Amino acid sequence: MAFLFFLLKRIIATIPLLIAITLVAFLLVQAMPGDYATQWKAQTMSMGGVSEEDAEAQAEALRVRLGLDKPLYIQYFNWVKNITLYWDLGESFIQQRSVNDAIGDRVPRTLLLAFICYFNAVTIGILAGVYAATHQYQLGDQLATVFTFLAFSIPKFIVALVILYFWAIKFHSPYYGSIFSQEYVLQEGWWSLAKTWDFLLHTWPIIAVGSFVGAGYQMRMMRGNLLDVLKMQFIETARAKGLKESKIIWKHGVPNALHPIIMNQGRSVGYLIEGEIEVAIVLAIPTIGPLILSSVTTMDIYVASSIFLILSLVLVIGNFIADIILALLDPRIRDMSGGEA
Amino acid sequence: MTSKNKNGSLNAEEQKFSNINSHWHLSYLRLKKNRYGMFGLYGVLFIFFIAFFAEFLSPHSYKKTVQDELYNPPQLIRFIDSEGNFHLRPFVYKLIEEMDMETFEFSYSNSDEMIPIYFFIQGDEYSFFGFKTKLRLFGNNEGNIHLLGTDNMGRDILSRMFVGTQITMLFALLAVSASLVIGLMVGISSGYFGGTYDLIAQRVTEFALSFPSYPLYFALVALLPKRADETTVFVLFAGIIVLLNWASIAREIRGKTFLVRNLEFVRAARALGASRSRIMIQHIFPNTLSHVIVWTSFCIPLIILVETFLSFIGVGVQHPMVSWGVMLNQALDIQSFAYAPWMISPVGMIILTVLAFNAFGDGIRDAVDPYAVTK
Repeated sequence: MAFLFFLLKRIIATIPLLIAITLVAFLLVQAMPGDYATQWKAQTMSMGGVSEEDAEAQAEALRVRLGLDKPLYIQYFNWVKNITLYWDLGESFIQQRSVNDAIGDRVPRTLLLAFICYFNAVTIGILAGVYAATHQYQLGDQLATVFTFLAFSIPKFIVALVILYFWAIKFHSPYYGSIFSQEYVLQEGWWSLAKTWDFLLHTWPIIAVGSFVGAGYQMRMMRGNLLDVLKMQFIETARAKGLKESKIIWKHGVPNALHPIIMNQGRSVGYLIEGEIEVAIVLAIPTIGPLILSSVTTMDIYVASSIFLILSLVLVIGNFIADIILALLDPRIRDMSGGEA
Repeated sequence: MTSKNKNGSLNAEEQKFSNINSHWHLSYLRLKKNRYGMFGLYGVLFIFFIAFFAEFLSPHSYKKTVQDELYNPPQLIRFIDSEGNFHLRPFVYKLIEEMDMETFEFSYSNSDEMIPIYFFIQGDEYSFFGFKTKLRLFGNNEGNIHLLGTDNMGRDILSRMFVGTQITMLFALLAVSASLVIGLMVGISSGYFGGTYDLIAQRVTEFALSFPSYPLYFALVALLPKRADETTVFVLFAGIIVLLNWASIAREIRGKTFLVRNLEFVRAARALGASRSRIMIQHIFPNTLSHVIVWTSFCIPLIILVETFLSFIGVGVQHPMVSWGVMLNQALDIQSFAYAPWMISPVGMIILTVLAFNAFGDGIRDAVDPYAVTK
């Protein structure tokens, strides 16, 4: 009962955030100086040699066709209606196709990569964290600490630049700058083993950078939490009972130390996507990263706002799931009557 | 506890303790024991030193372009010449440029001509906090010295890196202090007043915290007026960073305020008739200072990374202003990056800065914790 109440409260708290995100997503990109039609006008005038009146007329026609002449709030409602009812995100002006097509293949890829990074980060990070905490101040712990420190301090795009230098410039890798080799591009259906391998060959920089930086974060948290837990009295009691050390750590220590980690998982989703964007922009790997940059610089309104919307949704949902799992695990949170959830 | 002897002065034993009674002094003593923390402290001081004396330390004006010195590779400082003679005055060899007539590729090699490095020379003029001066730490007016090479327009990378340090640090300080002011005001007031105001302030804070920062940075940065001069863009860009950064400190400060607002000393101040603003500024704010310091030292590297990354992909700080990110931007052109990889040398500064601030932050966080046991 308490859990259902918590769930309901959490859902209600999320709704205004979702509305605000769509509003901001729309208004932000709308507020950019000029619209696609102005750009069209400038382009036809400078490149097509059309006179200013003709270009203006063309631009006006374009505005009517795309609905850009209507007041902002109507444009917004149309946009939301199309998204919620038809899952239609609008039209990419630059790519001359619907946003769904433009970002359709990139979003799953980005999420897949983020998930791989996430999985690696959690596995490596938690195992390394347990090791570091149980071998405090020994060589492995010192190495792990240095490693986390570097993971925190070296910017991901700089690692990507270094990878770019060796991968693309020194070794002229054929895998640079695309997501599949030629023979797999048009292949439909489930990925064969060869295709998966090909995918990994093209995207390993993202996976490597994302996994290791993420692992650094997870490890740092896990190490600190486990050290705190291992100082507690019930651990001492367990030792006094003569329990095996491995049992003390894995049965009593780790489950109690996992709690703050789960609380932070929602955040790490956003963090991984940021890292993915950075690396992908530098290495021109066709995922969301390069697209968001190009859509913003070319004022491709609907693409930019859709990406913003989708990424925000992913983050909000990530936080939501993390909260729910936390509430399932920890009765103190779901029974809290008021205050911060 | 201090008892005074006949003369009314403290005896030696007591003086020793009365010297170390303040929280900040104890914190400093704790920090001093932490090797990483001290590395961080010296690193941070070093970076501020470079930022402060950027133009004095750099051998050239950061804007000066030399047409026949494009893509010069870095020159090594030498004391021993090719004949094995030792020179007390350091020097570099002048570079000879050669073009391969088949591939049209330029290559550089050292000539025998030595360019001695002079110190405290009169070089290109610059303005140091409004004073016009030509004094530079080192250089040579006859031959050009490029210790880190030159970029695609023949500008000295070392000089640009130093001036970039100035701009980047200025940016970070501007954004951090603005976020701090907003965060402190929101945090203290919402923690102190509570009630509906707190509820609204917390929802706004949560809202700012739950936004995915990168996409929002992209969108907001694209809103920057393209034709505005670089200073306006710089300030607006800092404003964008502030927009998302104030929330984390506001939330932290609110929690802290919540803890202290009903403690005895605040109640006493209230009973004595202190005004609300006095209580908040004089009594609550000092109690949040350690949070503020820790947050600041962790926030500066984050802001530097965001600034550097956005300038790097060309949507942040704009030419002719130079920051580390702006310098790295040239490396996005893969051909010039392949040709002149030394153009990414600001990377070293970036890593050093972020490492130093993070180490300092770690150290200071442990040091200001009043419950930490002084070993």
